[in-house]
Amino acid sequence: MTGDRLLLIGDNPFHGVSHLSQARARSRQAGITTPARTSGVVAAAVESGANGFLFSVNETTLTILATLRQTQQLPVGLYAIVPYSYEYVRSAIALGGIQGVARKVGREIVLAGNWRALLDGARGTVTGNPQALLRAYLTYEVGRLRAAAGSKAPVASVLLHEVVTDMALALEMDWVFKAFVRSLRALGVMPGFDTRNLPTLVRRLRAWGVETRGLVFAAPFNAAGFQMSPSREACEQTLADLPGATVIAFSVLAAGYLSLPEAAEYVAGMPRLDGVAIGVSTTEQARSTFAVFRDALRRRVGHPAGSGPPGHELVPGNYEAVGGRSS
Amino acid sequence: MALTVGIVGLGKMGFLHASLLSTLPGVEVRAVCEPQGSVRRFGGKMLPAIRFVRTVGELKGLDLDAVYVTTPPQSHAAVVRTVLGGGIAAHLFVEKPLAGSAREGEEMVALARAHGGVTMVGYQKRFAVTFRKARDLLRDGAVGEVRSADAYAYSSDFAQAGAHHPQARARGGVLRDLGCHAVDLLLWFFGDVDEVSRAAEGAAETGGILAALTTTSGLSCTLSVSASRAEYRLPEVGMTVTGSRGRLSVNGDRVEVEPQGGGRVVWHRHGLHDHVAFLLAEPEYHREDEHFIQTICSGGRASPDVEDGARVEAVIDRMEDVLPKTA
Repeated sequence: MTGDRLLLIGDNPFHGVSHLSQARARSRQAGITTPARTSGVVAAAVESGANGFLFSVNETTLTILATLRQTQQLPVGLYAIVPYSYEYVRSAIALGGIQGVARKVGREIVLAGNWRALLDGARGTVTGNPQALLRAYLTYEVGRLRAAAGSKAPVASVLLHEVVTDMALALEMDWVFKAFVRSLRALGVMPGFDTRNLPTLVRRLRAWGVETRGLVFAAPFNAAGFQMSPSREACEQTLADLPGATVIAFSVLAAGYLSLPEAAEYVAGMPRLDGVAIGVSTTEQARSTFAVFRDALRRRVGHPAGSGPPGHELVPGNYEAVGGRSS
Repeated sequence: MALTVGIVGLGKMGFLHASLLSTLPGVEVRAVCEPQGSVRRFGGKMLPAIRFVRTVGELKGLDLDAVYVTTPPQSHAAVVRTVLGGGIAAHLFVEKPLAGSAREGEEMVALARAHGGVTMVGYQKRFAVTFRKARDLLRDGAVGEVRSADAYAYSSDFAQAGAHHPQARARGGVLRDLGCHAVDLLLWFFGDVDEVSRAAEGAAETGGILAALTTTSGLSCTLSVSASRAEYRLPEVGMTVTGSRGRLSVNGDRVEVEPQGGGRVVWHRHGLHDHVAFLLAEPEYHREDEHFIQTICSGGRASPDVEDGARVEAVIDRMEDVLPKTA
């Protein structure tokens, strides 16, 4: 339906997340309350052309997956992001820092009874080996995912959350990237990285000898250059020189700052993007939004990377009436 | 030669600053001081190029140019005393709030003056493009003569646990921990505060603190603070300013001007040149660290420095004197 490109429904609205405004996030949070309703939104997106689901692994999304599994409406491709950093930051606040969070995760792993994860966790704790702890954590998260979605669930990729990716990238912790790739491949899952610093990440991975072919990258791509660090041009240039990797764009609507046609036009003009992830909060929005992007992905307008759609000028966003523009 | 930095306290903010500093050209994060043994042990394994020590005094002799203090606020004064008094580093960045009291703030100002060097306090909202735009608009008379300002700081950090949770107290209380951002913005926008009193009504509405302040220029302000607002998934700080010719509202997402004659104008952060070289958390953190490092290299005074931070402490102490202890 979209050629060979991915059209994923993103989970941000299900958690009340909006990068346009917190006011919008609050209204989203108030509107989406039950797993049945959110599962309905995912199902509507799938009916309208979505062929995958990009989500953070947490209780809300696991419940959605379990519901979709029961109704046999699971999307064909599951792209899971770990860890759900928001939950861990909140835990750190309430539990008094990193030690408190580590204890909480350790307890969850024990309670989950995943023996492989327990073994790696014990080994990592005793020897002080962070790679073994990372392996234990990933084994636990993939186990949680499969328990909710089914052992034969179509887990296309597990991606490292942008906060962890970008922090490890900044601190040049090459072992995180190497261990993440190795651990997931051992679990039979394609590894990926969620990042807001794609050019820096790709450059460093290559310098560290981490093969980018066969990896999944999720990064912001939009006509406004929103969250495209260090710049829209640099991100588009990196995209043009990333053979063999799967690149999924998020924030294509710049969190609602751009109109649907503007965002769709940009996506259509980026033939090297392998897919897009879009968050919607109602079934009606799912139907209208995914139909537009399904068509945009099919069109594959051949603008060269780095240029974007010709003559593109930003206009106010589609989610609220905006009476003026920034200077 | 690289500018060398030490971090005291490897919690959430310590990690964030260590990461961002590592991306700045010519900066080396050389040492971390962390009292928790397990964090030190795993930190040392994860970041082998960084020296981990237990006490602040052990940073002496490591040839540090600057120290970041990212411990709980009650410990800031003691750390600053050791760093400056012990000649550990010449330049100092202290996370917000500067201190646990106005008296400690004054002590730090005296110490900083005696030792010279660049000081800075982590009020990163000043580096958000929306607050900068709002300040410029007010200076340019976008709403005419300013008559009043209503500032707020809300979060859901303790919506479940309650404001009297031990971690809320460990962070200096809700007013000091969260409200300090709004106080700093009021001081930055409108100058020193002359009078502080308990606001007549509205505290129950906000579920937190409501204070009335008058600036030395005679401007009437209110300040509303709560960390128990479940609908605020992320902390939000903002302000509404009423002038003779209209009203301006600003938060981290947008600035909005409503002239009396109509014709609302909105600037989203997306359109305000919000790019940074490396994006981790919000872009303002990168700008903040960059400003500190650039000020050290070029000489001069960073803004906000410890004197600005001490002014916030003085206002908060006065608020604590007049307000009931119900954050």
